[in-house]
Amino acid sequence: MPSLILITGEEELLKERAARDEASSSLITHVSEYTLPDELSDYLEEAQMRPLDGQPRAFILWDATEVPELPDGDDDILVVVAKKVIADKRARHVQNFQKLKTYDDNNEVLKWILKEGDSLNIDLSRVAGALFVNCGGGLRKISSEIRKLAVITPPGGVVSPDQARQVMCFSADLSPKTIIDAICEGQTVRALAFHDKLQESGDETGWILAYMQRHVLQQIRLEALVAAKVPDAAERLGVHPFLFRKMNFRLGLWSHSSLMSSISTLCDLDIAQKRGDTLARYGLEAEIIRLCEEARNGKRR
Amino acid sequence: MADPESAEIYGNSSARQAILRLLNQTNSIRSVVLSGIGHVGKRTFLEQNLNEFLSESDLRFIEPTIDGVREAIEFLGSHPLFSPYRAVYIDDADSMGEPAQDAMLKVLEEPSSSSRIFLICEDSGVFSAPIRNRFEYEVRWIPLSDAEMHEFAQKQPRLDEDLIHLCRGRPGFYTTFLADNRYIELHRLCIRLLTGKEDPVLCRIPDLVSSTKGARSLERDALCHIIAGAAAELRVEPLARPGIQNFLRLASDLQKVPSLNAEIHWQKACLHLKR
Repeated sequence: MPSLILITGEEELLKERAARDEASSSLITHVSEYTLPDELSDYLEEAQMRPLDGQPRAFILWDATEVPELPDGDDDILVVVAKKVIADKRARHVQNFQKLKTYDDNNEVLKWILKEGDSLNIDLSRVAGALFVNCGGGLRKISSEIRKLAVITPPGGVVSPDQARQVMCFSADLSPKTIIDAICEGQTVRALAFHDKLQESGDETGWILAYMQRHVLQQIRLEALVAAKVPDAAERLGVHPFLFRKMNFRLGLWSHSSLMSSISTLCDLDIAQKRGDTLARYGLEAEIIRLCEEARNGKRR
Repeated sequence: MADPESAEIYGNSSARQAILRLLNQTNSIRSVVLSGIGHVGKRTFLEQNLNEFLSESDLRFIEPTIDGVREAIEFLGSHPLFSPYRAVYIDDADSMGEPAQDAMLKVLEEPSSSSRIFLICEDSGVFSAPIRNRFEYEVRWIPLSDAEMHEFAQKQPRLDEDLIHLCRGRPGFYTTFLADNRYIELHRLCIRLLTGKEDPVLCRIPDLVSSTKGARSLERDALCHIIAGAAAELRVEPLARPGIQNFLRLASDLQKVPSLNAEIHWQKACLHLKR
């Protein structure tokens, strides 16, 4: 009876590794890979033909949505990789790799980075945070950076921030939203670092201003809707009710007068920027700092 | 009074006569500015008559950009084919940037005897001093009187006193407001907001504001006109006084900086009404 292994989840890198590990751990030399649904017929054709030498075979099927016919060989292995969970009683075992969480109090990506370093015999404890910030939550990008670090670090060595800086590439998906998140957390240095990074490749002042204007306006409207106890507040704010509940945590971070002054400043900067005033960028930085500091004080309260 | 030669243009009869005189003279003034508030018929009148006086190959509409001015230089460099002179006209000329104005100087400094340049703008004061000094003639256009507006409105599908009042002498807006009821609704909303009868924070953003995007257009101008008009209408109302400045500034900003996001700046102006 051929073995069926199901690998599901959203973490592509982990699924890929697990699938190849399963195939190689069986010591089978002949591994065939197919991407479904385009190559389904090729797989079925191959799987139904027993090899003349009688050797077992391993098949990896990527992007499957259901389990196709099992291969004919009794010792054959079929690894089915899918995004959504597939239920099949014939499965010898099932692995599910859910998206790693990146919450402030529970960052699974950081834990994974440390584990990955251990597997390559290097200590990444000093640069794990930087790796996460530079590469975002994408494990494939982080893994590629870790491999580079493993090459320049002696076995068992600790990777220092200076070493990391020399080889790391910034590849996180950066948008003004990350600046807004940092502002809400009251992390001034982080917000300014993201701002500088975003401005590195070109003048993005207009883009950042637009995001910040929307954020401040949304905050003012949120306060007014909550105070007025409007029943369809989430709908009127144009957000999902879940997001609306989440946004309530931001209430009180800034005073009403501060938000009003902020929207005036941001609109004035917007006009200045659109009239070609390059100084608008510095005004924006000052406003980021002011909002960050106030959010930090608000959190302390 | 409607001129038979320009059946769709009303009011500004002295300005129209001056232009007709200039067009008739073959060896006279070469650079003319038509200035004054928008949507009173400056461009329509000029286009109608230029098309009548000149052949199509000797007339060109030019964009108010540096590329447009270069095109004008090239076009005016050749002799007229079938007309007594060659002419270019630039609408919205006050939106020309500094490079375009610099390029324009070249044409204005040494215009050939067989060329005419017509600039259409709202405010000739925004041009740089060297350009202003080289204008040979300026024709000012003013808003239409109530009687002229009535005369104009009678020729439209519907005569609406409220709309005539709302247009404040600009016939170009009458047809726009007549075609889209949202302008009247926006005007009513502005009045309610300014007099405190509508919550400025919780009120929904009008469609007209959220759909206004991009470059300067008739719709954008009409939006600014409505907002500024509502503020002007309530200038003697003590309740509305704090908001009038916000609304006037909003209208001015939206018109002067066409790339501004109307929705964001509208919300800002509304929020400050609650102060």
